[in-house]
Amino acid sequence: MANTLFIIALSIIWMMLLYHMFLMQGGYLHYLRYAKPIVQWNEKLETHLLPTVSILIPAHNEEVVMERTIKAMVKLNYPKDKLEIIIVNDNSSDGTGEIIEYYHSLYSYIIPVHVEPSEAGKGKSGALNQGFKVSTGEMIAVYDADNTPESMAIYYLALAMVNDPKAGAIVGKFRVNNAGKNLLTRFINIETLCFQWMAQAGRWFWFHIATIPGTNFAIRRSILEELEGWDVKALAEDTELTIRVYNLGYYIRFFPAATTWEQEPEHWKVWWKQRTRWARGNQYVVIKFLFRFLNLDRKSIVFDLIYFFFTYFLFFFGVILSGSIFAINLFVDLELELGFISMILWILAYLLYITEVMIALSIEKDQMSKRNFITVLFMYFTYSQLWIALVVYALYLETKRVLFKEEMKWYKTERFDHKRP
Amino acid sequence: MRLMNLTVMLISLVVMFTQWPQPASANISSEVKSLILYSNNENTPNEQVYVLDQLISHYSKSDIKADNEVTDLTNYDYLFYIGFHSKRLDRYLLDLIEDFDNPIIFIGENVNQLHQRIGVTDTGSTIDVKTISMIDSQRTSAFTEVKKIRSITFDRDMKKVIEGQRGNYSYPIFVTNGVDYYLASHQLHDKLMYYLSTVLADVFKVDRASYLSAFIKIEAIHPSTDITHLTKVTTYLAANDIPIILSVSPTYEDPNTKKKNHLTDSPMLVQKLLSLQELGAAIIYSYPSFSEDISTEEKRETVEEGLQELASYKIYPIAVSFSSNMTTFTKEDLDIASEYFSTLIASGKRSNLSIFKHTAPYVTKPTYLNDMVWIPETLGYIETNNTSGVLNIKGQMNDLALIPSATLGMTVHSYVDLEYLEQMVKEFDTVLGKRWLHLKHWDLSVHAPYISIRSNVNGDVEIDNQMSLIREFTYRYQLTALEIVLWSIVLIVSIFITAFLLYLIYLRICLRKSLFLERKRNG
Repeated sequence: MANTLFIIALSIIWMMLLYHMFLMQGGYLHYLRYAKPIVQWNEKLETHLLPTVSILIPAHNEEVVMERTIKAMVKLNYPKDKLEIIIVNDNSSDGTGEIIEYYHSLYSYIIPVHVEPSEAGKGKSGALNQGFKVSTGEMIAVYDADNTPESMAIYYLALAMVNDPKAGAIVGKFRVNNAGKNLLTRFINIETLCFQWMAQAGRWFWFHIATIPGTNFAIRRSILEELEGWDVKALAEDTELTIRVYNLGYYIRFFPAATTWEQEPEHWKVWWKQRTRWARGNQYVVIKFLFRFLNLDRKSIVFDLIYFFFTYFLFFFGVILSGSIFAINLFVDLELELGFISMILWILAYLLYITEVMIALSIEKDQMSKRNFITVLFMYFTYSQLWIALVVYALYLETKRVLFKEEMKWYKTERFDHKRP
Repeated sequence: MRLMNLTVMLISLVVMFTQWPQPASANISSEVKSLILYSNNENTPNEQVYVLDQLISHYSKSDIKADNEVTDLTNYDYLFYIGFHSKRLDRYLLDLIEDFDNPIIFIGENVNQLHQRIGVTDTGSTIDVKTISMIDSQRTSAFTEVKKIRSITFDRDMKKVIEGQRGNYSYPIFVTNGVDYYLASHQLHDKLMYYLSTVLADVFKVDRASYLSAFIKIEAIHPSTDITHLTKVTTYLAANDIPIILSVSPTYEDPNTKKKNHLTDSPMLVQKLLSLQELGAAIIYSYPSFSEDISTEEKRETVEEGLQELASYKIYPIAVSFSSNMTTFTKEDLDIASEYFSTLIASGKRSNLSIFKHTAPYVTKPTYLNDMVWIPETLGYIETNNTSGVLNIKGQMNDLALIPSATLGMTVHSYVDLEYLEQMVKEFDTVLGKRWLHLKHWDLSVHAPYISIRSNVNGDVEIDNQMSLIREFTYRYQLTALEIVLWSIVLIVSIFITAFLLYLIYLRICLRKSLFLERKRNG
């Protein structure tokens, strides 16, 4: 019995680990190749015209970060006659509105949208829908209010979209601008780099799949019109949108040349709330689509849904099971038959984890430091394990919500002002 | 180390000086054909029919038929009739027998009906005799229990070859007219078997003076065997020019812990067996002792896996043996063994299988063993420093020595103290005209899936090993399917980790270059 359970746990865990190993290989190859077509695409731009772009920035009480974000937007290297920056002031009670209005008076292409209190509070999806309503661009780009895109970011998103007609959306890379702030932000920084080079780049390389993140991506106006904007009910509006884009027959290209920098939570509490929202959102999406995935036209995304199902249900189950067996075995001899080889596998899992993370870090020019290396060694036993508690908590909340038919609430990630002492 | 070198040297010497060819399975000839015809109530061959079959099989190939199944005798060189009950034989059959051109050996009841051919008259009563003797020699033996024989008189043209005694009186047991023979008992086992074996040489017109062969089989060699002691035993045998025959089990289940050990758990044993095999030792496969609930298919699987496991280490058994203290095997086990092996080395004495429990004194090829050659362990075994398994060795050797081409075969357990072995070898040395049996110079074969082993009279062993690398690997390390998968994962992941480390080095080297590129891209 214990042996069977252990084998089940081991199988699930290693299916995931092998898949990620495979993804990391793809991510590395994508890193080597993604920039190659840029020269050719630049040449073709003479025949293709750059599209008109509307940047949507939902903002709800963002006075701490708003100004810096707008300044980065203004510095974007993109023809200003083809650019409009729509900042959706979603019922802010702080100075966000004033800051937007101020910059609107300086730059005509910055367009404020003040959501009426009656329309407000529908979360990020709601705000994006409001912005989309007034936008005119052929390409809609989305940034979070704390983002400072690099000057070429929009250009690269547009370049890839013009040159790749099958791409419904282009996803850029995001970097953490407060990575050095504390241990938590260092963890998050490492995590985001891994996510992007392993999951995003890897999946794109092997399967032409990428997930739309919350920020630094561009999508064709035609698609949004067809989809009638964002799903206001979705907690993880980006995952939801991803599935719908694939279902229309497009793919989503991961193009890391377009880079933005964003702020990550600096307090565990904030981090916990944000991640709980993500986990719940993804659990919601998995359950929603998994039971009708046969109706999805694009089967490649089904594969990705299964991946989510693995992550939030099976892998989680495997880890819990394996952990429990390990713990019980400390006190009671369960006569596990695979003791020796499972030890070797455990060591390999750890080594694999380290090398994978190191590759993700090494791809970025400044991340492969001794400090980060030690953080990575340590992270496996700490930060990574928190994920288990998080999934349990998220599952609890989702179950509660479904059972008691609770209203969904949108939790907005708290920002941190770095100018303040 | 020194001991090892000595062994190597001594064994080389043995191999060098004992290269004479041994005739394969003595006199067994497939050209001579006999028919065993029996009359009993059941109309199926019984234990005694099989004893007869076994004894004859040393000289000829036989068919076994009930008296109502015979229509034609033209193809046979010898006719053996054995009557277990009084019965009026068909006229048709009697005509056939009477007209039979070749020798008839008539055993037991109903001889009166054939008086025209065999001048023996059965008086209708029986006599209990206690001893048996050969007329033309001083040879006399006592039966273990009284033997019931037919009371007969015989014509003047017949002469007595074997007689039995009770008190001061003697009674004919085996008589002949020079062509045909009559045996006055259908209870062939016990000492009668040996006497019959001797006279069968005359029946089949084979020189009685053919030599005796001897062997000592070392048994109970398995992954938990004490290698040091085994080395002592094999060194001693080699030093005495005795060919080494090792009965090996690739697995051993500890009776207390129930833990199964495999060859992989004893690399020392593997090394030992390989070097002994290289030096000419014959490895034979020890047939496993199965419990009753094991299915035929599982048994086959175990045998195949055992052979493949041995072969994965390049240990090639050339015959099969049943362990001397194994009592529970069935006819099915014999059948299974015969599917894979051409030769069996065993004693049937302790078997509870009636057709198998009477061991002939020489090499046979009984019908019920499906053409498998049986090299008998006629002298019993020594186990656990106790010679009780040895069957009155002196007397037994003397008995056997009088039987043409008899085999003196003994089993010694690998852990038995050397002094017992020495004692036995001394006994062997007293037997004149014996030659040690070189199993490797016999024409033997072993076939299992992916494995085919064949030895020939030159002592060459041809191997056809078609096992895939994965299969060999599996046996060598005793991996389950799951372990194969897991070790494959280990291999794949190790390759990837290595690749990732190389990528890291490459990325490090390219760092300056990428810095430059990125700066250029971002303007």
